[in-house]
Order: sequence, then structure tokens, then C-alpha cells
Amino acid sequence: MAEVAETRPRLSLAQLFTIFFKAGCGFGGGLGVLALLQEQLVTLRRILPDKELMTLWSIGRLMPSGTMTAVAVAVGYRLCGFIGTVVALIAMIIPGFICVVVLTIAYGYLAHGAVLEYIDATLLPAALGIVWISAIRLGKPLFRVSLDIAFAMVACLLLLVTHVNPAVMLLIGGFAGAILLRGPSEKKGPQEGTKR
Amino acid sequence: MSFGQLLLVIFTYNLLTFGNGSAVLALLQHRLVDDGVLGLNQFLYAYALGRVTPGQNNLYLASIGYMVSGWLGALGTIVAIQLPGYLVIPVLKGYERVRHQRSVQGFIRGLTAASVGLMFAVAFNIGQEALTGLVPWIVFVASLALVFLAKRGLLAGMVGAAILGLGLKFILSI
Repeated sequence: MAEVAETRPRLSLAQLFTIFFKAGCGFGGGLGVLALLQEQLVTLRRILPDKELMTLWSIGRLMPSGTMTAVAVAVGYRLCGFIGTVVALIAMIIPGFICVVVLTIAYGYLAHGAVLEYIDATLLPAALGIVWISAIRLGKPLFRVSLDIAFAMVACLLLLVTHVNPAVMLLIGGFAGAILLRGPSEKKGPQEGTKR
Repeated sequence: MSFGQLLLVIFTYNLLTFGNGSAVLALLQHRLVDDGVLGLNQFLYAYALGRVTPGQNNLYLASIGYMVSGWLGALGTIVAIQLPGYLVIPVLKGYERVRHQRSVQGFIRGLTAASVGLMFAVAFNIGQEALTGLVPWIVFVASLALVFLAKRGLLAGMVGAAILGLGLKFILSI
């Protein structure tokens, strides 16, 4: 099913910076960023297939620290090598970092005011909209009668009901998939090798 | 707390916690608030910033870094929370070598399916926190309408809906 492609599309560092800077402007946490990244990489520029981005995100969820950090490193590395990882991370962080530090400097003025409440009541619901859109777009390949969608539904319900650690749930899904969702074997062609 | 100690704490906690940002939050609260490095109000304010600013939620750690050690603390903290992400490179290289095996394909299928479930669970949880009144609901529906019906991009849809919400909040507060 979802694979990480082996050839690297050509992309300049400036283009990579632009893509991740725009993604870094997404509100709603990692999924908000993912939504904008999906729009840029999959929908508008067609640089990555949606399945590949989903695979990278899934693997990123298993990494320590932030999922989108791992996704930025993976995508940056795949598109522009090691320097791409640095460019992607810096670009993705800049919008949020500046906002966070400026608002921290303004702590004395804002901590007891209504500004944060205003932002919370307007930007967060707006971000929620794009989070749902992103979930629907990225989950689209699964929306058919299959064991995959059953896996997704069970995982969703268990996460909502049991509040189990998401990384543990993903690993359970992976190991269950290794037993129940074994795909057709794929022959490795001579041109395929380990990418960078 | 010195700059070095701050970086060590942030780096170690991030490295040790997988898939659950709230685990880092609990550990940090114990280390920073209970030990008197930050006040509870400062800590909660920093965490709130992670929700209302763009980018990943864990950027709130830059706020904590700034409160403890100024600009150097903010920059050092950001670097410390990004470094563990580089573990994905050897993981993907290893994956490339074994991805043709049927069991690995099944693992990735199961992992991806569970990830889709996780995305909807997270979206549902954010919804429970965010949709707390009429204005948030209007903003939420407006963002969907702007993207799906008006065919605006995601960023334009989000900003447009947020501006509508600010206008509504302002009118209702008069």
C-alpha cells in the first residue's frame, strides 16, 4: 500500500523553504501544519503522492519529540538531501517561533487580558476546519469496504475511549497489520536501490 | 536553572516521550513548576501559546526557554526539540531495505490505517475543546465552506473564517 518512493523529485532549496514556511503558518498544531503541507506537496505541486506523505506521517508519529519535525526531516531529506532537512525545519519553525517569543515578551500585558481568549475562540475553530479537511483528504484512499478502514475505525474508537498512548496504538496497528494485512509480495527491480 | 540544564531537561524529556506531547507537559511541570523555576501561571501561559500560535504545539517550549534564559534559551530549546526528529533518517533507510517484504508491507498498511484513525480521533478531541459556543461553531463551518464551496486554499479559508469570528466576537461584545 503506502510506500516511500525511491526517486527524488527536483526541487530548489528556495522552493522547499517556501513550501515549509507556508505549512508552518498552519494553526491547530501538527495536523494543521500537515494539512497545509499536504496541499502544497500533494494537491498543488504534485511532488509527493498522498500515500507517501501519509506513510511518512505515520512513521513520524513513532519518532520521539514532534511528529511534524520528523516529517519535515524526512521530506527535506528526500527532496534536497541533508541541507534540505535544515531548510525545511527552519522554514516550518519560523512563523510559530516568532509568534511564541513575541507573545512571551508581551506576557506582562497579555497574561490577564482577553486577547488569548479571542484567539482561542476564533483561530482554533478555523484551524479545526482544515484539520478535518486534511484528515478526510489523507484518509481518502482508505474510504472503501476493506480491512484497512476497519483498522482505522477500531484505532479511532480505542483512542477516544481508552486514551491509550497514540504511539502504542500505532504500533499495535502495525503489528496487527503485519499479520492480517500482508500485501502482495513485490519484486525488487534492478533500478531500485536504497535512496540517499 | 542554568542554560545547559534547561537544554538537557528539554532534550531528554522529548527524547524519552513518544507520540504524546502531554507526557512531556507533565514531566516539565514537575521539573520546572514544582522545583520553583517557573510560576504555574507562567507555565500555563507558555502552554496556551502553543495552542494559539501557528506551527507545532510543542513550540510552546520556546516560550519556556525564553522565560528561563532569554533569547538564547528560546533558540536553544527549539534546537533541542528538533534534534530527535533526525532519528527518522536511519529509520527510513532501514525501511527502504525491507519494505518489499510482505510482513513489512502489512505493518505499514496497519500503521497507516491506525494513523488515519488517530487523525480523526485528534480532530474529534480538538473539536471538543474548540467548539464551545455559537461563534466557534460558525467559524468552524465557515472554514469548511470557504475551502469546499468557495474553493479557497486552506490558509485563506482558515484566515477568512478566523476574521469572521473576530468580527462576530467584537459585535457580540458591544
